[in-house]
Amino acid sequence: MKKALALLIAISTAIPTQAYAASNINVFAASSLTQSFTQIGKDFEKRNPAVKINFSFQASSTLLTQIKSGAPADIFVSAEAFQGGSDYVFNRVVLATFKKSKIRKISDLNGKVTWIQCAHEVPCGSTADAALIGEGVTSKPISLEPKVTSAVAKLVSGEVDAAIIYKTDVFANKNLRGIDFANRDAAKTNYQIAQLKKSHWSTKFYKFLQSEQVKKYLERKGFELK
Amino acid sequence: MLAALASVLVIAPLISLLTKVSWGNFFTSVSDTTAIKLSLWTSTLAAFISLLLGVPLAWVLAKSSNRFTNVLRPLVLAPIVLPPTVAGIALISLMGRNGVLGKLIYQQTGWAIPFTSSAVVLAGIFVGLPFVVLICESNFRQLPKEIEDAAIIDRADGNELFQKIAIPQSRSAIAAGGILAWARAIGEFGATLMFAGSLPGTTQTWTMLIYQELDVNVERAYSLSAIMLIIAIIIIFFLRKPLREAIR
Repeated sequence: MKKALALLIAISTAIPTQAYAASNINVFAASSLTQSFTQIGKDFEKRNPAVKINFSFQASSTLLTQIKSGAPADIFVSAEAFQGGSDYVFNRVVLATFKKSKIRKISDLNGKVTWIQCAHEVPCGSTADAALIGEGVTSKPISLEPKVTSAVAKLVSGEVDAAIIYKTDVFANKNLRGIDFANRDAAKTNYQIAQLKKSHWSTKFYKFLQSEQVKKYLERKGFELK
Repeated sequence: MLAALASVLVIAPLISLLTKVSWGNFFTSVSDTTAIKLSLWTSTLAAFISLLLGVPLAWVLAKSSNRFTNVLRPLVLAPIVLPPTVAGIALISLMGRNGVLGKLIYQQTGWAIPFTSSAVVLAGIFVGLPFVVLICESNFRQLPKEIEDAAIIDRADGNELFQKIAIPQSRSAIAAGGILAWARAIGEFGATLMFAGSLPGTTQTWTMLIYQELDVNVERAYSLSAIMLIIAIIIIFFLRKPLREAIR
């Protein structure tokens, strides 16, 4: 009994109680930023070997819920506006299909095709809902995905014919083609950024994310700067 | 002391979940029962099919011990310890539109199982059936030999032994296996999301709805969770006796 208790105490002291060390920073970012931010993070770590950047990529609404319940995020980048956030970059939803697909315009969704979008609760879903208004699409998506990356995965693996995802997802995939929505304003989404916890590295990375160089890189990946 | 600590570790989150539910609005927050109904019927069907197929498989595994069954056993039990995401990928690799079998079906019929309620049921069977096999096989092995021997002397064949001798003596084990399979199926999340997607009325299950609602309607997420918890407690209550008998 005493031995077991001692063992338990030994185990629990071995578990790191701090979620991160001083040179680690946690960046919570919209899942549509997965590819580009992973690359940006690697780049930053290469220049600053002392720092380790931990990314958590989820639907922005999921991340916001986690942050509200105390998740240790230093920087938060959301795919939609949030309280305390400042404008970062812009993205837009498009109807993505394979390049060889017969789907050529949005209204082709009314044909014999299967398509998906994000859930109404997450940014890529609410933006898709807005963009679809007035397009005359009467068919329904066969799934409402909890985050954009899972919608992308299902399209890329060929499980569906089309998906409403971000322009940047199409940029990242050579086999995909994006069809623009007529209402370009409705299809547009405003990414916002905020620094939630101040530390040496957090501030450095926060500034790096907003540097000309990173913004240029994001623009090459399909994001829009205004 | 350690026993108390163990109890607190498990019980404290359960109790606090119930205290966080706003009971005043409980019924209005769960008035839309689409996802609950979907979960109930898909998991019940999955459990039923798991029993229908799993009990005979358990019998075969219990009665024959050769190289084949020795390889088969760990394979059919594997989903018990498989992470849901791996289960999801495995199901897609077989039944997806580009899957090993799914591609053939899709090319022949134009139909694919992902994103249908059938996919939810199939995912439930995949994770639930192994529990039926696990419980029933160990039970079949423990049946008293004398009754079986007497039946063999009376010229009972293998089928009769299974249907008339083994099954009637194994009601507890079969019930326990079925309930465990059902519970596993209704709690399934990761594999279902990857394989079936999430669409209200078709594939958005109870657990999926809880996950989604946490971002927008916390109150509803808590209420939906509370019902799950209450069901779990009821299951465990009724499962005590059959489980003890099945794995004695």
